[in-house]
Amino acid sequence: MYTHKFEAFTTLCELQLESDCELSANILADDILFHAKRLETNYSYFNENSELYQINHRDQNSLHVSDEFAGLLQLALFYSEITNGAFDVAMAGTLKDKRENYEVIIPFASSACMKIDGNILTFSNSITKIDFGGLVKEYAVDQSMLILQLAGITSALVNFGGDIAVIGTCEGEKWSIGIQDPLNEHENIEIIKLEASSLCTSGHSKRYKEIDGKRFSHIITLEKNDLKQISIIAPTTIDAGVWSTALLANPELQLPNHIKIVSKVL
Amino acid sequence: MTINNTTQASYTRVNTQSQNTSSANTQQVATTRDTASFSEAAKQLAQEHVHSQSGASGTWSQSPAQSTQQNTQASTTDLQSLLMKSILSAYSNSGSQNSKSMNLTA
Repeated sequence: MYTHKFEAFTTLCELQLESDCELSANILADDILFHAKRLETNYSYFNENSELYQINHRDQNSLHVSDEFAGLLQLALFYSEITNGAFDVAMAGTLKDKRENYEVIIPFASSACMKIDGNILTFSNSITKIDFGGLVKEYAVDQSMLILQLAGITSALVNFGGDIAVIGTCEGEKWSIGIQDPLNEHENIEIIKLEASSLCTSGHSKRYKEIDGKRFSHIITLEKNDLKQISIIAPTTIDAGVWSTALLANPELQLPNHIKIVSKVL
Repeated sequence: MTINNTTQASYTRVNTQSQNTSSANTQQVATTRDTASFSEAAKQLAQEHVHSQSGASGTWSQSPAQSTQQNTQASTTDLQSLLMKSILSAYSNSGSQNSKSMNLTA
């Protein structure tokens, strides 16, 4: 089992893969790092050189976007619809770092304010912004796993800051994943045996900003609920990530059959 | 060995008695990747794109730089297409009531 670690998406990333050739394993790790960095750069909310930044700071409301951007946005709009807006890249992007004038901005913080037709992205206004924060890292994990599978790897783990995908086994056993206690980072509340699927956890306890002594979670929820953390297993990391985020915003959402809740902390 | 799944930016690897941990098998068939069809599609793509430059079989024989430079454009599009197919397949197979919303083009 070869292990590679690197930093991307402002988090630690880890690959573990079974290979009989160290050179092949290193080449695959380099390829995955290249794509992770490319995605991080292209879809950064803050990087002035990213395609996303250019779109968010547009001077016209109809723009030509890259094929990959169009595909990502298609995915985002799909998830916005099936989660009844609980997962919404426009809400995340438009309300990001906004702590006042919510009522004025909220009508523009919706995927309903944009549409994608081929490579043409059209906004209904100049205020709506996009944040792919809840999508791109998960997309990168799935893409990494695809790269490994394309190369014939049958046992591997991809872990980008807790967004995890696995195939095959870890030295003959199912992959063993510990879900951290949000109240005690030194303890796991559960150990999940994972096989050919992905696991993502969303919560308010780790990623937040503190402004004037008050905590603001990285996940925006307009209606408060008691859910502190939720972990989801799904066939793809995008699915697991999106649904864990959406459920944190709205725990009453009805889940598709292929999405499973494996842990909840109230 | 247990990998930690956390919501935070940093994480630690911990050693636990993983063989003895309670493991009511939460995994169900529906939640797993469709590895059979997925691998088949991946194999086909690999033949078309990934190995086409090298002439070798079974391994990626190019240097990382060559590999990424020559294949990035095609493989990025193909990877996205494969991913979307995989996602759509999961929703189709689960009999999702949201099928009317599935307007993704893989």
